[in-house]
Amino acid sequence: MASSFLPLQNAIHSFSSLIRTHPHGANIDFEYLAEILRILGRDGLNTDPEPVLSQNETLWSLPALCCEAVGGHSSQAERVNSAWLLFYKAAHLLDLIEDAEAEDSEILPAQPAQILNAATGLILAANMLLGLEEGDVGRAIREEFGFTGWRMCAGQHTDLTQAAPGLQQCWQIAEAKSGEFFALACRAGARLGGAAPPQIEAFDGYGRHLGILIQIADDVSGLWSATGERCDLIRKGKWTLPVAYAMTACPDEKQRELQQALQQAAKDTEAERQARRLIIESGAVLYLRIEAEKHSQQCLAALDRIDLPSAIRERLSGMVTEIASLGQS
Amino acid sequence: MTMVQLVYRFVSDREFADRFQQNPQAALAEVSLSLNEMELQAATAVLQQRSYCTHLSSPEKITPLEMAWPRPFCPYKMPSTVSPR
Repeated sequence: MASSFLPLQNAIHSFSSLIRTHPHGANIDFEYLAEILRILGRDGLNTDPEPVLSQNETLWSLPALCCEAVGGHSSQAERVNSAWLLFYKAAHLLDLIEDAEAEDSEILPAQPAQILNAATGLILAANMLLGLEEGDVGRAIREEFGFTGWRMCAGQHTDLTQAAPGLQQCWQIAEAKSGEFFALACRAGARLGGAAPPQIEAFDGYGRHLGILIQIADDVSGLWSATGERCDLIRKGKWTLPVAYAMTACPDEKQRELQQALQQAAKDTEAERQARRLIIESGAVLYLRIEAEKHSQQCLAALDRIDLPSAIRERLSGMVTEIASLGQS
Repeated sequence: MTMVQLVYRFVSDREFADRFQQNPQAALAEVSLSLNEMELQAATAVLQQRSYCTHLSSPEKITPLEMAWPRPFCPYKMPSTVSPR
């Protein structure tokens, strides 16, 4: 049953087994392995039914859920789910470094080189897990992971090299970085469960729109600071969706005002507040709320194209509704 | 008029926003829109929430919990056992 599938625990178990059962595993320094296990989050295994965690459990179980949705068993997707989660964690770690400014070093969880080294280990472990998948399905999934990874890296490259991407370009980056990744999870899971091509395509659509929705959520919440994180507005040259919207929608004078506030935001909290005020007043959050509504409708429309067990449909659609509601009660 | 232009008109023209909230179809008929059916439905559903508009005049009072996603639930960011140094 998908409800008893514990994605993080499963990923840690898969990683540990990989090392323990292979003769070469004994030669790897224990401290390094312990660091990777620590990063994977042993205490993230808390299974208390609090809402945040339960939604994440659904999100991190996407390959297993999609496998079950088409008649497979979640155990068929265990390795691929783990590999996807290891990539997810690696991407998150790499993102931390790639987005960090020099002054961010104090909020990084470790030295950048250490984070980079751990992320490399996670990617190698994920690749080894995928290598254990057999037959044509296994080969197809490995290829999809590889090409999706490259498309995500290409999206990140654009994000890193374009100082002021337009709104359209920001949407393309969101799809390349986030849409592709969640589409991969759903497609791989459905493939493992024996789905037919039209079903795989529908799962691809669900995952793609879900990924964009998640990127919208990330960019909107990035307008504010949180404990241990800096708000996106103080990252020089970092244009997220709300900023790109404001710079598209506002008249020239307001654009100049916003540009100036953003330039000073890193060192001046008043300028940061001013930038946030200008962005909100421009209707950026409202615009993104509409886009979120649109993508959530597209997620649900994709699910309607698949004959799903009701329990799985509820989990998949419930997650979309939760993310798209933007915290409204 | 694109979605971006529609939203900007909504937040910068109070009378248009009021007319929209009273009768979205009539307000939308005033402008020439290049939106498909799904976009129109999404725009209407969101822009009709008057509670949002009351916040526009004082955006600093808006908290992520009220208006955006609650910060603790940010699904793209995986939870980490490593806390900031």
